[in-house]
Amino acid sequence: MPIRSHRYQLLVSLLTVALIPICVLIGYQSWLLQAEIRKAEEHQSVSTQQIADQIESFVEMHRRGIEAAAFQITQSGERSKEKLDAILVALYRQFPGFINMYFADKRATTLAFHPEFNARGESMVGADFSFREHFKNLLKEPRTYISPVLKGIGGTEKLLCTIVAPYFDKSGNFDGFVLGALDLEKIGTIIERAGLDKNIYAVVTDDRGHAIYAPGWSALNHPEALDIKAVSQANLVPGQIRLIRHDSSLTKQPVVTTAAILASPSWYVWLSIPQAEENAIFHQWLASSAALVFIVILLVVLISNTISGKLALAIEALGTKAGFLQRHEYKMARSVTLSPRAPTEVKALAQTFESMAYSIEQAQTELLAANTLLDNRVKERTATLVAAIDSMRDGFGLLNRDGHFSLLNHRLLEFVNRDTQAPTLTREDFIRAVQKKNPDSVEAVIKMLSEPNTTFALVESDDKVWLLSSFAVKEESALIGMGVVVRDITEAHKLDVMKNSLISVAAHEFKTPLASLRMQAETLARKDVAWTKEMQSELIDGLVEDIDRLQTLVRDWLDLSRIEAGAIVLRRRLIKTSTVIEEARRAAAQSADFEFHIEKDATEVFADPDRLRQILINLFANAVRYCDTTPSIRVHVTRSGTQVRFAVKDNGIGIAPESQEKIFEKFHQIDMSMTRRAGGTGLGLTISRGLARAHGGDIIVESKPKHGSTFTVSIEEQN
Amino acid sequence: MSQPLILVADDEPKIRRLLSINLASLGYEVICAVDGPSALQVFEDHQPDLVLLDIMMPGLDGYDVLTRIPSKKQLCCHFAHGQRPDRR
Repeated sequence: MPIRSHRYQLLVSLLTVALIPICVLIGYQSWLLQAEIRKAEEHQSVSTQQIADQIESFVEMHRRGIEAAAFQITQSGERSKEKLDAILVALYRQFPGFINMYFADKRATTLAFHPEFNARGESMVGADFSFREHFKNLLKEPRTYISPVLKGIGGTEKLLCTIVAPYFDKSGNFDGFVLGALDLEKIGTIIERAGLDKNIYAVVTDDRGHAIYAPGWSALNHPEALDIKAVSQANLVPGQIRLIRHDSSLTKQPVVTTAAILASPSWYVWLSIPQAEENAIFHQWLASSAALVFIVILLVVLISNTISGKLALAIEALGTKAGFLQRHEYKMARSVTLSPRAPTEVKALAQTFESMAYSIEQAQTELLAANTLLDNRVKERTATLVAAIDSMRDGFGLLNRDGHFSLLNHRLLEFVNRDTQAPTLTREDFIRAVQKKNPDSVEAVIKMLSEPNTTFALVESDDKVWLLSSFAVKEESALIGMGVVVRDITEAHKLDVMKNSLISVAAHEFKTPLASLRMQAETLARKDVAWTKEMQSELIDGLVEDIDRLQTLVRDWLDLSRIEAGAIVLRRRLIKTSTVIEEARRAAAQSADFEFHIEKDATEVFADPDRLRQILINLFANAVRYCDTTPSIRVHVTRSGTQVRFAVKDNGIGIAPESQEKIFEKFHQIDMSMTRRAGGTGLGLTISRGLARAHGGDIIVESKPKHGSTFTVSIEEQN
Repeated sequence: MSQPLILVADDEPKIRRLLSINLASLGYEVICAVDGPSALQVFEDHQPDLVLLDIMMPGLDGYDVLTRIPSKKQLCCHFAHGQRPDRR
């Protein structure tokens, strides 16, 4: 079924609704019209019948008059002129329709005549009328006859017919007749009295078709009466009206004729009405019906147009509204209003739309708010994540499976020499960056990027070493990418190098006395040379010295290991400051010019006596060792709260400012040869500082080359 | 023709002393240097027949001294007394 616009559907519906009663009305009208026509025809028939009856009774009445006169003569047997005249006069008076009348004997000679004289003044008595047709008929059969229409007979110019009745003698033989000439113009009067419509014309003819009455018609001029052919062919029966439709012989137009035939005389009477009249009524009706239909259709179209127009406008507005809704323009959607004349249903729909829009807008607003909240949270989390990875000291990046880095921090960008504005970093970019740093590492980096948990060191230069490692990043056990960490291990590497160097130096420090030991022993053991006593004792002293040195080295090395491991155990107790200093002096500074001064509040110190002594011995030994003249040592002990300070001032060679911190490093001697000459291990200050720090203190140095040094040891008692 | 001259370059006095007395007892003339630069100086001044070089010395180390000795005629030998750290 094709889908039509509501306008079309409305139009069809309204037309159907409107045209059904119109059709019924037209049908009814048509029926009414038919009835009207039938009624008109019936009326016409009745009129015809009435006229016919009146004409018949008019003729009958006069016939009876004549017959009565004939009967009177037959009964009385009177034949005198006087008597007959008297009868005629009475008859004439009684029936003014007769123009003249007379009695005739059995030979048709007039016995009496009324009026007796004709227009020319001649007496009509004794006139012979035996030539007349009705006399011949009387002779054949004596009865009443009514003649056909005549004109001009009997000295008149009037249209007439004669009624003749026989009278008989006593024995009943034909004895003569009485005749009346009936004036037929009376029939015109009868018809006029009938009051026919002016459209209707009436025609009366005799049995031969001679006109008795016709509109504007001179019957004798045209003996053949109007329409007689059609009527005479209609097989009329007295007492019945026939309806004939035929063309008028006068106007050649179709007419409706109602015709009757009289019983006696056999005259025709008919009324005709032009069919145009009927048609006119029909046309009028048709025109009015058509006009009605047209008006209704026009109205229907107008109404349906108006209604559908309103509906269309309303629906269009709804459509616009819906359009705005679709584009989420809720304010615009609400601004679309319907005409106040819009159908209420549509208004209701629009209201539903509006509330729907409101709900959607609210929902969307809530959703937006929720989204914003979520967004903010995500942003916050992302920011936290970015901040976290950006705060990492290592470069970090997540290499996605599509070969692009996502989630990478500044350090990684720095590693590949990119700024943040650059396009995304790909796996190839990363490999190229590594290649640029060290072409030999390409294979290693490709391996690392393809195999998780791979690590390799990338040596960019002497000053830059990187540790690159990868790990698998999984989400619900599905591999989503490879985490890449780039760590700057330059410092660690340097430390490593330093450690190797330290080991090497340490080894050297151990090797030197060992080599010396071996050489001295081998020299002593030579049999090819006889060494002097002095040389022998020099070599043996050297042996002892080397063994001492090795012992010291081993001890110091062990101390250092303990200090570095944090495994030094202090056995603190309250000791006399002067005792510790004196012990240390005896051990290391016997050759020096030695003085010490202890403040009153520092006579005792809470410390590990062995370790404190070790520190002081180291310092005193250094003071003696690094001195080109007679060593001079001044010790000043002070207290500051819980801290006791030992300031050891010497008159040694001093230390250059740039070396003042380095002297505390392992095996860092300003000049190792000098150290060895002086018999140190190169670990003393390192150990001393470690021991002082184990006491919660430190050792600091103030020095000026050639002007001696002051080492200050601080011991924190409450540690 | 005098006795062969041997240059002993070592920063360790004891080693220098031991080498000197042992070599002298074998009839060599010994001359000593305490570090790399002085070893080069002594080499130029005295043109020794043999050089005994310590590796770890202040100033120039043994390898450096060796590369700077101009003549290849002299028999040179070094005394592997110390080991240098790896050189990259």
